[in-house]
Amino acid sequence: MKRLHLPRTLAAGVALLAAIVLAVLIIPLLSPYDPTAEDISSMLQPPSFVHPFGTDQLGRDLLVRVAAAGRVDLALMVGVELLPFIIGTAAGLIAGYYGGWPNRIITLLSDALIAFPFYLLVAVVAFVTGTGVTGIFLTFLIMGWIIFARTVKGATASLAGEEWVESARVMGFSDTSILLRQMLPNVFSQAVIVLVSDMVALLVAIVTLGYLGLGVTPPTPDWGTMIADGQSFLATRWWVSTLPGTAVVLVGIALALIGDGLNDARRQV
Amino acid sequence: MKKTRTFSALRTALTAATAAVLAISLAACSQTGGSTTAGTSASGDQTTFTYARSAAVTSLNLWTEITSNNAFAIDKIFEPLVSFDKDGKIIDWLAKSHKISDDGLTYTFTLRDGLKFSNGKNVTAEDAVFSIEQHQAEKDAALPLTADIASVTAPDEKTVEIKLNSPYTPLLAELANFSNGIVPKDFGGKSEADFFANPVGTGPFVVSKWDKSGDLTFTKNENYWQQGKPGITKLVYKLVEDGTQAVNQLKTGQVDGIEDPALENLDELENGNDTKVETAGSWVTHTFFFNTADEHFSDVHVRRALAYALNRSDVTKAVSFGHADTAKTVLPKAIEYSTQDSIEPVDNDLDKAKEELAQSKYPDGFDAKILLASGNNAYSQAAQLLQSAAAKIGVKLEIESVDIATFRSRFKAFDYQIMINSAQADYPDADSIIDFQADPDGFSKSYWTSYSNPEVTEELKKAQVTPDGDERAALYEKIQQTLADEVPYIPLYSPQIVKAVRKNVTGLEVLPNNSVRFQDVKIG
Repeated sequence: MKRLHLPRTLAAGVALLAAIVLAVLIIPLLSPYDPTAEDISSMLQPPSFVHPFGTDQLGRDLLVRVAAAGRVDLALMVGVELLPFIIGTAAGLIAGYYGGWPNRIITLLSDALIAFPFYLLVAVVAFVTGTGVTGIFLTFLIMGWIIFARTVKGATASLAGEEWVESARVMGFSDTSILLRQMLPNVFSQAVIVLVSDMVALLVAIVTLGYLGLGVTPPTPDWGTMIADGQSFLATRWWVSTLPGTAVVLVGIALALIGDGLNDARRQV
Repeated sequence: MKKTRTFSALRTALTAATAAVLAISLAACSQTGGSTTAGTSASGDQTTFTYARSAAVTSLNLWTEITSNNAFAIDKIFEPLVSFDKDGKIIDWLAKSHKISDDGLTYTFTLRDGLKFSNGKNVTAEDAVFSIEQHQAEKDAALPLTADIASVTAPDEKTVEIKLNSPYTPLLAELANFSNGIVPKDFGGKSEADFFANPVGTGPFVVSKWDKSGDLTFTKNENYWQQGKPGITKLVYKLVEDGTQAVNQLKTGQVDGIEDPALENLDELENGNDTKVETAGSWVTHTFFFNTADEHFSDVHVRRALAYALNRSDVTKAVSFGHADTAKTVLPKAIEYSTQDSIEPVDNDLDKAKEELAQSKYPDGFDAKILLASGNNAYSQAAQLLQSAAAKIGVKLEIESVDIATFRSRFKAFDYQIMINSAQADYPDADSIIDFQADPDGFSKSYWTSYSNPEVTEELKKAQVTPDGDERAALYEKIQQTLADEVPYIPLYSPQIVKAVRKNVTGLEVLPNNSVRFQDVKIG
């Protein structure tokens, strides 16, 4: 009897992420400040008891802004990733199970799309849709499914040749049933691991686009625009850029630990 | 086994962290980078002034250049007949006096005695005639003379006479431009290209070493007409593209001054042990412009409502760090006839803002967009302040930031509703701004606002031909009041011209066009 235990990396990652999510949910409720209310008389104050994270150029409290931006960016990260995950997994299952022309179409499509640099595509899409969340969503819909399709396709193809699949087919199970009941549970964990690490890249993309003025636009707070806001003060008022930047780094670390922990847990089984 | 797993976890975490840090390093990369080049050290050499500038000098042709990297090198070499002082007031320069005939058609300049070019040759009225005629003939002139000039003559060696077909009062201010500097007749026998590669002028400095993608070294003009000047023997324009680098070099004494120090970090230079800041008023006003051809902003009540909703002094405070005046009128204070000190602008009154909107075609508010060029922090902050001000009266503004090229092409195609941009006088005359911002038939169509008020147009045409004095002042006062009331634009703030120098530097004269005079500079 093998004793199963949660890898420490996974536990640490989940704890860190939970703490961050809790913080971004609670801080705006408890804070006396409105994340978008300017108060020029208290602009650019360093961290203090009144403003634990300091204030920005328009005198807005940075603690509540970092938290409010976290709500926006994390929700965006999860929301934007969902559809590509479903589409990519489905495409991977079909391509891996059937092979043949479905495989060829999906491979061709993903090869063609992956040739476009991501940020170039974002710029093009943003040009068409205007800046804002729509651009990020569309671009990720176009590009994001590929990585899931590739991972799942590989895993499915290697399972499809195994005897138990063949016997399931002989016993009269439909393809749909085999795909959903037999294949999906077996490849799902791999897809989830990819999902977690892909989220880090997506978050960085969201933040970078905000930084470049192509993503979330004011007055909605966002870590990227906040980092850009403080850029000119890096040498003299470190807190304006550094604190939202640190939030991005912490989420990145949490997700990386979770991804790695999940990988370890999968190998243990 | 366990160990390698932990390592791999650590590695992945670090990779992810690195990826996340990308966003921050993106922000940081424009701040750091570049290399410190010691060598042109100014300290120890009492007579060299090293000036950090963010762009190299690429051309010294005074007629075709307009950008400051070139203009502020050109004005050290060539000098005009008249110039302007710190407050934007016109002063005689190479001319010891000037006279304008009562009909405004004849301008007579008398040259100073003992004027010499840097090669030792005397300056005569013929040189001035050649310079102005050559400027007029220049097809690629960046700042052409707009006066209707009938003739430029030299009745004698010391007298220059300009005759006009019709009066044009801004001529004197136009002549004060660096582009009307005096060059030797027929380029002293050289070709134009050869001449501007190694120019000869009357200015305090002479080019001695010039790297078009790097530094420019001037030496003192031994024949300069101001006795005993300049006080320094060498002036080095050192290319330091990165602002943080420039600040560090000033602090350590590798440079003696910075041409364009960032306002955000000025306090450390103002309060530094070895550094200080010199300022002057500017001819620039950062401004929100309304496209008055837009369905919403064609309504004067809508424009007045937004102007009342906004608190301009908040904008000034947020973006200028104590180095700007809140603009109340379209003319900055360093331009004669500005009513900055007396005018009552439409500003900062939420009740009146609501009243105005109630009188407009959109009493329940509407949605619109502010267009701005990305990468300008001050503009982005100002736009956010207008956005939240507008929200208070039910007008929902979206901020649309686009790259600078797109920005320019869009506003020039009138493809915007509100934009933020800077307005600048090219020369110290009210007309330079008013004509550009209020003449619907001019090249800029009232600074691309399409604003048109026949009364204002008539007054501004009249002011162009009215001699300087009370009558002209009254015209500009009236125009400024109308523009303030009808709000085709909201002038926000006029930044100071700011130069950072070492504490031991004295005599630097800062000018409202962002240039400086070095002839009185002493180090130590």
